[in-house]
Amino acid sequence: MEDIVYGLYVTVIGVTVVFTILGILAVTVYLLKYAGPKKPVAKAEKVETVAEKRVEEKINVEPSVDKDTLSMITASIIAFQDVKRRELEKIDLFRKYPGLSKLLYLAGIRYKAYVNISLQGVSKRVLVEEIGPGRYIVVLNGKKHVVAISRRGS
Amino acid sequence: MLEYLASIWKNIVMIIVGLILVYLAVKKEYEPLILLPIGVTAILVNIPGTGLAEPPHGFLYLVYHYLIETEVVPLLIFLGLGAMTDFGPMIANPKSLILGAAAQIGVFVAMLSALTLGFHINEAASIGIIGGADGPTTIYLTVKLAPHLLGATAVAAYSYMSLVPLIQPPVIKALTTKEERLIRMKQLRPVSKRERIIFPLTAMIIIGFLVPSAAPLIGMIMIGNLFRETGVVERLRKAASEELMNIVTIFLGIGVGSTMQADRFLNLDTLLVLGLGVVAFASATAGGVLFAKAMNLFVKEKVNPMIGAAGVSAVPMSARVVQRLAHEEDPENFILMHAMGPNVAGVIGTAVVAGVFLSLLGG
Repeated sequence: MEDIVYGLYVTVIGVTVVFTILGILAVTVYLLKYAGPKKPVAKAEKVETVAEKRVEEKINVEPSVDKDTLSMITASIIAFQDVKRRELEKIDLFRKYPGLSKLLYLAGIRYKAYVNISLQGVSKRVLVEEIGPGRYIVVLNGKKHVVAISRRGS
Repeated sequence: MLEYLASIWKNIVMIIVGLILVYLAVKKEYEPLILLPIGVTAILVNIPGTGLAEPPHGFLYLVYHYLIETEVVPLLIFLGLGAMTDFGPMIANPKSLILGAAAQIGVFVAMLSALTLGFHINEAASIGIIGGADGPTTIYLTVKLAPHLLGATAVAAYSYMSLVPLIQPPVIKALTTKEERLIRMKQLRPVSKRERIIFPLTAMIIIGFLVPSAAPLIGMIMIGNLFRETGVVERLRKAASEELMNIVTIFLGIGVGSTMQADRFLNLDTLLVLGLGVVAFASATAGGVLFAKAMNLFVKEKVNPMIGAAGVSAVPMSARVVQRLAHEEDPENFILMHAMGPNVAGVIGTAVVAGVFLSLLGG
C-alpha cells in the first residue's frame, strides 16, 4: 500500500514535470520562429528573380486532351526517359559521356520504346518516340499525341 | 538422462524463447537489428556449461558489465538517434511537444498497474517506461533501477515497438470518430537552419537545469542532433548515425541477450512484465489521442487527434501508423509530418520521465 501511495506521488510529480518542461520547450520553440530569417521585402524578391534567371518548363499538348490522358502521357514520357537512360548506360561510350546521347539526333537516330503505364488499375502499353530535343510522339489508344517540352528563360 | 533433462528444462525453454525471437526477427522482421542479436545470445547463454555470462571472465558478462551496466551503450545509441532525428516538424508545430508529453501518461498508468500487482516501486518504474516506446531509455533506466528485469523489459520494449502497427490502430479507432480522423491539417511552415541549431542547445540547457538526471540522455541526443543540423561535421554525423550506431546496436543486443539466463528470466515476473508492456503501449496511445481531442476544444486550428498517438516515441513507426489510418479514411489526407512532431517530442518526453524516476527513486 505504501508503495502505491508513493507511486501516486511519483505520478503527480512526474506528470507535472514532463508537462512543465515540454510546455517550456513549446513556448521556446514558438519564440524561435522569430529567430528565423526575415521575409525578404518585395523589392528584394524582384531583384532576386531577375538575377536567378530561373528556367520554366512548359509542356505543350493538344488542348482537347482530358486529364487522364494527360497523366498517361506525362507518366509515359517519364518512363521512356528512364528506359532510354538505362539502355544507353549499357554502352560504355554513353556511360562515360552521357551528353553524347544528344548527338543521336544529328545522326538521324530516333529513340523509341514501349512502356507499360497503369492508371487507376487500368494498364496500357504506350509507344513513345523522341523526335527531337524535348519533342516526343506518344501513341496512346491508337491516337498520336505530339508533345513538346520547351525550356526558356523567364 | 531424464534427471539431466529435468535439471536443464528451464534452459531448453529459454533456448526455445531465443529461437522464437530469432524467428520474429528473421521471418517477421520485427526490429531485427536488436531482436536477432538478443535472440541468438539468449540461446548461447542458456547452453549449459559455456560460462559465457559468468563473472569475472565470461565474454558476454564482460560486454554486459563494461558496456551496458555502465550505461555507455544506451547513451551512445542516443547520440546516434540524435544524428538521425529531424526535429523540424516539432519546431514547426510547438503544440506537438504537449502531445509528446501527454503520451507519457501511459508510462505512469503502467507503473501504477505494476505497483498494484505487487512489484517494487523501482521495478514498476522500469516496467512503466516501456510505455515510452523507447528501447535505449528503457534499458538505461532498468539498468539503474531494476537490473534483474533488464532482459524482460528490453524484450518487451523492442517487441512491442515492432507491434505498434497492431497495438495502436484499435485503440485509436476506439477513441476517435470518423469525422475526427478526417480532419486535415494545414501544411507545416519551413524551419530555418538557425532554429534547428538553437533548439537542441536550448532544450539541453533547459532540461539540464530542471531535471539534471535526464541530462545524459538529452545531452547525447542533442549533441548528435547538432552534428546533423550544423552541417559542418558531416563525418561525425555519418559516424554517429551509421558506423557507431551499428557497433553499439550489436553490443546492446548481445548485452541484453546475456541477461536472459533461465534462472533469471523464466519466472512469473517476466510474464507480468510482458503483459504490462501491452498496457503501457495501449495507455500511452490513449493518453496522446485523448489529450489531442481535449486540445481541440481550445484551439482555433483543429489537430487530427490521431497524431496524439504518435507521442509514444517508436520513431517513425507510430507516425507511419497514424498516416496509414488517415490515408484509409481519406486517401488525400497527408498527416505524416504532423505526426512526426509528437513522435520526436515523445523521445524527449520519455527521457524527461526517466530523469524524474531517477531523481525520485535514487537510481
